[in-house]
Amino acid sequence: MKRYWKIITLSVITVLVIGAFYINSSLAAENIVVGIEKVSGNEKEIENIRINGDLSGNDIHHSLLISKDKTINLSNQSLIEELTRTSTVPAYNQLKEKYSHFMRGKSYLENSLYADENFVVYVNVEGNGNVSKNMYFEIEVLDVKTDKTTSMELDVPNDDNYHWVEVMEVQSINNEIKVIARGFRTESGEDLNVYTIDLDKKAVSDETIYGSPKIENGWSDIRVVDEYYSVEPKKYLLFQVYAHEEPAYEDAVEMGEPKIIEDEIMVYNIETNQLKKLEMSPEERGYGIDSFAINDTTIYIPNQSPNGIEVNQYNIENDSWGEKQIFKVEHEKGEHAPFIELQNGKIYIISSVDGKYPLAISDLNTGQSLYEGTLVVKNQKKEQQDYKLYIYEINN
Amino acid sequence: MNRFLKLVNFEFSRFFKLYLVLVGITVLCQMVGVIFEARRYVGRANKAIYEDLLSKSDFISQYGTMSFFRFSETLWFLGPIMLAGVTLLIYVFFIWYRDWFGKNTFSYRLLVLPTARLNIYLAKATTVLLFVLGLIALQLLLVPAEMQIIKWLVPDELRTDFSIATISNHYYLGVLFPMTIADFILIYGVGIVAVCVVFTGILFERSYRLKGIFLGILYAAVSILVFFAPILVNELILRNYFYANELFYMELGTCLLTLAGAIWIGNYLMNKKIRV
Repeated sequence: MKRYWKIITLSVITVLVIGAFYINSSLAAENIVVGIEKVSGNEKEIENIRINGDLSGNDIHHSLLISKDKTINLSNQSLIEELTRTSTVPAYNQLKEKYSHFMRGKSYLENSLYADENFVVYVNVEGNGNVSKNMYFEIEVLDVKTDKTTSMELDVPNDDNYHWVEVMEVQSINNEIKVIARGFRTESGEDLNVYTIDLDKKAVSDETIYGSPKIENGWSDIRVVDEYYSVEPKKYLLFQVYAHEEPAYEDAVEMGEPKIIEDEIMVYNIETNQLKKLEMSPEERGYGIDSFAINDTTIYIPNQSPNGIEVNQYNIENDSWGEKQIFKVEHEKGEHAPFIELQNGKIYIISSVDGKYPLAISDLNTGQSLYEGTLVVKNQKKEQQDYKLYIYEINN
Repeated sequence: MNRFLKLVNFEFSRFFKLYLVLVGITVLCQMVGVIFEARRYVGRANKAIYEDLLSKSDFISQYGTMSFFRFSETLWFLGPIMLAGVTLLIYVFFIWYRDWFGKNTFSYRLLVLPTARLNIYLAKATTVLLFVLGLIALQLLLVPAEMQIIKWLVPDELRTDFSIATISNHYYLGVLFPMTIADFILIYGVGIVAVCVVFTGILFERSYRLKGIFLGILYAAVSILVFFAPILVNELILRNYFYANELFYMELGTCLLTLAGAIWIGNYLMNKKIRV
């Protein structure tokens, strides 16, 4: 034994030290837990809620995924957890669980996916960015009832006009698939197109919903409100078009303002292919188009008001403005405005008061409160006292 | 078993002195370094605050606070780690070639020992692993000591303290000290497989000499291909057919396959083809 003392000592120390390190780090693991404490209302409202937020301060930054019972710290996951994780997007994971065979090999582009009780549809554009190749739609349709998958590849019509085509929305209506896509023209500008795919005839027809004007020197763009994580059927697509022209160089001495050529919010009816302009002044747009939400035939437009959040309603079918609802918000005056999300006819507001984060869920139509609670950062360590929670997304 | 342990101890003792030198350099360099860096920081703070009349908060917003992570980015800290890494990398080759190129016909004596020749191979691999883990443990002892020294030398308000567990969140230290014990086994397990593949590559060279260099490289390339086969097939042929977790378990499988291949071929070469 005596001969072995060196190797035994080294082995024992190594095992003890590495063992102690892992026991210590598993005990001290920075398990940040954000709990949702109920104040009033129905617990069911937060049953499936997913809140994405950052807890940060002091150059440290934790990206959190908060749900009712647990908090996942995305910036503090072990290597194995990271390697075995497919996606953190709830909609994608739900589809994966339900149709695990069909979902194989589908890139994680929720815009390309559509699902209702009869069909799951996936449409993606292949051949982007490659001039020598033709662009084609890669289409796969799963018939949920018969569990049969139909797949086909169809050419994108008039693809010579574009160097890139990006799928924004896929819908399935009466055995036809409608794909709404942004095409970036080989010359400047872009088009918002709708491609109608007839599955039986294997034919694609195309129609331009809106083409941005040709701009010599300036900027133009089409912004589509896409609910990133939604694969559900919908009837309307909301988008904003914007174009401006920079003043000609000779005039630049006078510091001319860019000339705005177009700045409109439009709503497109996917079923009937009708396009409608929304008549509203820039002030009425509130937080901007990204905060808008459509439920049924109503567009909800949130805006800041002195006592809280004011939500305007616009009925697309009747072209009429509805009653304004005001949702009171208690919020500490700070750098960040309260977080607002409109979804499924409800408004979610998370504000910040005294290191706590009140969460309010209310009905958009009646203005009634459905749930009130508080997000509380638990087991906060001393050095994390001044950390702040910033919410940037809610899914329910 | 006893023969195997004897062989491990033998290999261990042969390198131990050099290993102690490596340990000494690491301790000395990091200890001197942490004291030097902490004092330099405090000196700069004093100069800024008393001579340039900066307020403490201004100084912090300009230079940042002193912390272990600040020290861990200096050459004082990284230098010894890199030195140890390079030394052990060379040692993976040295542990074989010195038996052939050393005094006398040492390799001959080693190969006629009354024990399975595979034991020699496994003993060398074990020794490398032991040395690597020893240095990891040393670093784990040094980090809290360095944190403590920073605490002594830098006043509270100029300092940010971290717990030792946070080194797993650091972008490169996190590779050496992963967050969970399972990650640790995964990373160092892959390391062992890599060492065994290199060992078998060396045995190819020792068996077939000049031709063996080519064979060894070919063998290593095939091993890498087998190791990454699930990922390559999934990306290039199956168009991402598999989900991440399925791919992970397949990778574990090919990892074990690569290891088994390395040891099996190594055993064959040592028993049938090796030249002294």
